[in-house]
This record gives sequence, structure tokens and C-alpha cells, in this order.
Amino acid sequence: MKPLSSFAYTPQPVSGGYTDRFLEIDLTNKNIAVTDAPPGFKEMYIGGRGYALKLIWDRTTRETRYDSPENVLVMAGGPLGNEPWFPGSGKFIVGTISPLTGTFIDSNIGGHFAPLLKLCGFDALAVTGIADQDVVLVIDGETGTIELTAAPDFGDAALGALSYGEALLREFSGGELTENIAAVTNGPGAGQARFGIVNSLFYDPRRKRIRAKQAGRGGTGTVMRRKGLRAIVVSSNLARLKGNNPVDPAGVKKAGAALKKVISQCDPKQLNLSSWGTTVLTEYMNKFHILPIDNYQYGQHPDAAQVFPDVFLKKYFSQNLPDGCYFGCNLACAKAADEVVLTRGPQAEKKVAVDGPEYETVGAVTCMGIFDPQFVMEYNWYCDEYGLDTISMGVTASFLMECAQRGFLDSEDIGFNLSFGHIEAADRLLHDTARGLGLGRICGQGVHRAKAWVAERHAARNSASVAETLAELNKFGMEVKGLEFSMYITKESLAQQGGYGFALKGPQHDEAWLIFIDQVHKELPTFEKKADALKWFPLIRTWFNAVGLCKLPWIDVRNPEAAQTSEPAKNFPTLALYVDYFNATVGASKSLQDLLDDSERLALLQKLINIRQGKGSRSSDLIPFRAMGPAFFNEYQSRAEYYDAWLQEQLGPDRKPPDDPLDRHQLIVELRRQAYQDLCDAVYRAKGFTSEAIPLMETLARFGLLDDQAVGLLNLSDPQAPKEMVSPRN
Amino acid sequence: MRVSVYLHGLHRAAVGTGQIELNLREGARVTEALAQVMAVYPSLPLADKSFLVAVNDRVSHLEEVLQPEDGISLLPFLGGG
Repeated sequence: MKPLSSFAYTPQPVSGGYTDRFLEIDLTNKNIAVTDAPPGFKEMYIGGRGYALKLIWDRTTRETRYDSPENVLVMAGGPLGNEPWFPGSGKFIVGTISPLTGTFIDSNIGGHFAPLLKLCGFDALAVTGIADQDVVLVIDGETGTIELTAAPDFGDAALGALSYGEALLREFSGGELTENIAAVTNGPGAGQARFGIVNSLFYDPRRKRIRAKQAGRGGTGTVMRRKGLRAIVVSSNLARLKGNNPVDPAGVKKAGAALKKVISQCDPKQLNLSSWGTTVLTEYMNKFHILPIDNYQYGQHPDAAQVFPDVFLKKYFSQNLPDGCYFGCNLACAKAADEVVLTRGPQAEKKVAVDGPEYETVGAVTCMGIFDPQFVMEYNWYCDEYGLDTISMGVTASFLMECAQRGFLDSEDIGFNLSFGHIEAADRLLHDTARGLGLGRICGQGVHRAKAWVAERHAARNSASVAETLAELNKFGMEVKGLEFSMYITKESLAQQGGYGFALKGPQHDEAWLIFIDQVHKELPTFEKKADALKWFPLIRTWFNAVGLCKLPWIDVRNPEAAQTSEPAKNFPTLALYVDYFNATVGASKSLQDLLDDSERLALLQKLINIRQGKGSRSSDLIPFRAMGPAFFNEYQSRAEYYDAWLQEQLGPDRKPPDDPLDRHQLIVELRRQAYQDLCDAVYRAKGFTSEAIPLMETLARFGLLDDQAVGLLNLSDPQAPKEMVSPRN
Repeated sequence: MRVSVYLHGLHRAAVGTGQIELNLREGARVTEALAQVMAVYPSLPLADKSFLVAVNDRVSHLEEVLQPEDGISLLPFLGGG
């Protein structure tokens, strides 16, 4: 293939987890550049999410949209990624301005891409511009060349994100696949929908095939597709065991060995993620009324056992292999089925390999009222091949199903029978979404935009007010800031309502998952305790996304020593191993609090971007009522015993609840709305924000974030704020 | 008195059922209930306390005194992915 643009370079060796170099691609001009990280950059922004945030803060503006040429698509691992001595080290971040939210989004993804990118000499890749034809970026650390080529055409059989990626890897590996070459791709669905994903493909010699992981949330694949960047291929033959070149190799090995021992001893007796993957969560979520069913109306269903983990283990996870997404992870929770015969859709009868399902994909299917494991597998594969987020796809389809159920859509709007539990309808909507056809074109816009479309049509048909119709849809349209909820019902956990509402990217649980310690453990009985948790957990979780690590070995494998600590849920004994690992890699002597402070700087920077993009105010943190409680009477009826007990607890022993169930439901709605507002006040205080959710000047100054742009934003938000810049621009 | 023990995930798979009914003396504690379960299903990994105990869906402890018709659940530590 003749390159459109080529660049020769000498790969920068890794030292202490960093290369201190960025690869910058301008697709408009086909320009390739290698730049040095500015002095102090890594100390301030750490890596991964932090690098993506800083690059997007500096290089985009309030006017930047997801498809603007200046929008930056950042892919960055972190200093702790690429370390086989330590579990869970193959993660990287894809960050950009989202097509769904209009503000910063990032999604983490496993595989070999980021480790290989680091071995090629880069801590981060930043792509701007829009190509005038579909292109592929090829980074070859062996020859020291970076090329932009016209995207190869592999024919109609290889148009999808998985099939195209496999053809590409075979092409560039000379036909013999190895672990030293990896790719990221998008699919045709990303060209139609706002929730396109980035697939990360790598060769697995045990399964003797290419496996894939996904950066699913927020439409990063849509941005990549819109830029005309079909794929990125990266290769390096350098040894992975020295991939991070840590300052203290013995310290890394010691911390890694200790964590691997905790995992090997505890996981088989706890969640058993190594055998069952995250599908194990389905059973527990169903038990505690947390599994989304019929667009989050209900949290439990008698048919849910049909999609419990042992079903997938027996019927689909054919080899029962420990499917880690990177070397050295003995948790290895990714699961795979090698031979699934499709029964529906345009590729019916084809035998495919399915990487998954994860719990979130199972939940997306139950959200549509479907409990068929075969459909879960097929939905999983088609979404990956089309390049669509299983979560946003399922939640938007569920929303449209409920619009039909409640009469907001009629058969003329839909064109076919769309209802909960109807597999053929869900299947059709999936394929129509990937192709941009009919109702699928609306579905591909996500819940936020689908609400507006439904409201306009319903109001026009019924001579009703669009605003009033939209207010009804807002009760059950499960999105915040434009992003669809991930797969947990929060009606019985006020803390997790905040976990979703305050999440800076929108309602994705990677910032806070407090359901069990709140709803089941009852460890957060006061607003203050909830607020403390809603500050602490997002900060430590942000740190994982900055350094290139998976958080599951910390959060889903309980170290036995945690039982002796004051807050077992924080799993401090395992976190101490992470602190040791960080210090040994980069040569620092930081405490856990130092790492949390580093994360707080990143969270504040993300907050600033949200404010700039119009998603940073108190109103942006408001969640749909269905996330707070029973939006409709049928939901109240299904859990009346719980809601009545909750109401009595709120009223106290001296006050009697209304006799009429309809009145009780109405009172519950009022009290829950107030409780969420009270939680907002408590959390904003804990975070050093104003009551309108704006960071205080002194809060930003403490973290060195008061550059000109930040001061200007705060002045706009608060006319009384100081006008001058109070710290040097970083 | 009659008490139910609910098993999930690993525990359910180990014994092949999701629910065990027990007859206990009045005033029995959770630990006595689990001892009965282990006597019937010695393969259950209950000895090293690598699980949480919930009574009526609320996290409890081994020394809680049970009431008739109580439901005991054995749960893993869940932190969310």
C-alpha cells in the first residue's frame, strides 16, 4: 500500500513508565508529528484520562462539536499500563468531545494496543482534523515508521469493526498473527449512530484467534469514524517484561506478586470472576431489584435465571479459559465463546466468535424485557461488528419500547410491532439502527434526542404541548447529560442516584458504584456519609483511569485484611499495593492521599470542561425521576411493601401515611425529589463547589488549575468572582 | 423455627440449589444455621468467611439472633466494575 503520508522516527525508550512523547496526527493535512510532553506535564496530569482532559481543554473550545475538525480523539494508556508483573495493566483511555453529551467523554478499553503504543515510544496519540478519504494509521516501532494510508478495501465480507480489523491485522502481519501487533477499529454503525464504539483487537494464541475489547461509552467510535480514520495498527517486537522500565523493578514484582496472591486465593471463593466473568453480577442484581427490566421499570424478573452466569458457562464459554485482556492478569474476567451460530439478522447461519457477554450487555437485553441467552450472544456480536455500544443501544431501544407501551408512539411512527420482550422487534431495531433506517435512525441518536423527536410527533398528533409531553418523557428517558444510564437500577439507593447524577461524563458507573454499601450494607445512612463516598470513590476510580489500570482487582476482589480496617468497602490493604506499585514504577514516594489529590485535579479539570460545554451546572446533574423512585404507579405497585416502609420511615412513627395508594405514590415522588436535591447540596459542599455546582476559585487554585480559560469561565458563572488570573497557566 | 438460606452464584452452583430450608431452635444464631448447612454440604466454601451474611436482604453478622421465617443470604463482596 502506498502511504498518503509517512514519517520516520526513533522510538523513545520507556523510563519509569513514561516515554514523555506524544504522537500527533492531523488528518486534514495528513500531517504526522512527534512532540515532547511539556515539563511538569506528567506530574500534573498523570496519564490516560488526565492526558486526554488536558489536551482537549487546551485544544477545543465552547464551539467545538464532536464532528468539528479541531475535536481531538485521544488514546492514552498510563504509567502503570504494560506490566505483566502486575494484574490488570492493559487498559487505555479513548477520550474526546462526545456526540451524545457535547462534552468530554472517555471510555476505558483493554487489550494490547496501549502497551504496544508505549513500546513504539508514545504515551498518547492525539488525532485532529478530518480526512478527505477513509484512512488507516500504521505505527511500526520496529522500522521506526508512521504512515497514513488509504483504508484498504477487503470486500463486503469485511465491512464490520471486527471483520475489518481481522483482515487488517492479517494484512499487516504478513498472514501470521502474533501478539506483537494490535489494532483499534470502528464499524459501519458508528457512521449512523451517535454511540459508536472503538474496538481493540489483539491476537490470543490460546484461542488461536483475534479477540476484541470495546471502549463502549459516549460515541468515541462515532468521532473516529467521522474523522475518516477507519483503524489504527500498532506493532512492536520489544519485550513486554521490561515494557515499563520501572525505577524499582523489585518493588514492582513484590507489589504485583502480593496482589496476584490475593486474587488467586480470594476470587474463586468470592465473585469467581475468573470463571464466570462479569455475568456473575446478573444474579445478584436480580436478587436486590437492581437488574434493569422493561426500561428500568422493574428490577427483578422470574425469567432472569435464563441469563445467569452458569447458563453462559455451560452453553457458550466453550473452552473455559482464563481470558485476560493483557499479559499477567490472573483475574482474567473477560469471557469468550468461540463458536456461536447466528440465527438472526443479515449474517444468520454464520458461525462467529463472541467476546463476552459482559454484565452490561446482559442488562441491556433484559432492559428490553428479553431473557434469551442466545439473543444476548447475537446482540453482543452484532453490536461489536457494527461498532455500537450495547448499553446505549439497549437503553434507547427500551425507551422507544416504553414510548409505544404508554402511547407516545403509534404504529405509524414505528412501522412494526415494538414491545418489551419481543425479540424479533429488538433484533430489527438493532439492524435498522446500524443502517440508519426508519425508527433505527432515531434510535441511533440516543435517548436525549429521541425524546425530542417523540415529543414533537406525539404533541402534533394530539394537539398537545411539546413541553408538557417532554416533561412526561423526561420521567422515564434514562439519560443524564445526554448519555444513557448503565445497567443498574438506583431507585433504592440514594447514594447511587448521586453516583450517576454527579458522574462528570454522564451516568456511567465507573465513577461511583455505591449501591451495595448503601442499599444492602446500610453503611451510608446520612447525607454527609453519602457525600463523602461520592467524593472519595470517584477520585480513586479516576486514578485507575489515569494510570492505565483495570480497577476490578481492587474493587471486586476483597482483600481479607480489609475486614480489620474501619472501612472495608474501600479495600485499603489492596490499595496499599497499588501505591507501592506506582512509587516503584515512577520512582516516587507518594501516599494514597497524594494519589487522590492528583485525581482531584483531573476531576476538577473535567468539571471545567463540562462548565465550558454547558454541562457543568446543578441542572446538568438532575436525573430522571425513574432513577429516583417509581415514576409511574405500576412501578410503585410492584414494590409497594418496600416503598410503604420507606415512606413510614421518612414520616416517623407519629405521622400516618395516606390511605389511598395513589396519594402514597405521589408523596413518595415529592419526598424523593427533595432527597435528591438535599444530596446535591451535601455533595457540592464536600467537593468545594457553590450550590450551583461550580467549583470555588480557591478549590481550583489549590490544584493549579486557574488558567485564563478557567478564570474566564468562573467569571461568567459568577460575576462577583475575581477578574484577574491568580496562578500561572500550566 | 423455620429459616431459609438463599444461595447464589458460586454457592448455588456448589450445591445445585438456590434455597435450603432449615429447622432451628428458637433463639438460634446465624452461625448455627450455617453450621447445619455445612453439615449437609461440606463442599460449600463457608469456613473462611469469604462472604457476607445478609438477613432479610440486609447485611448482618454471624451472631445475629434469628427470628422465625427469616431469610439468610450469603453474598460476595461487590464493589461494582
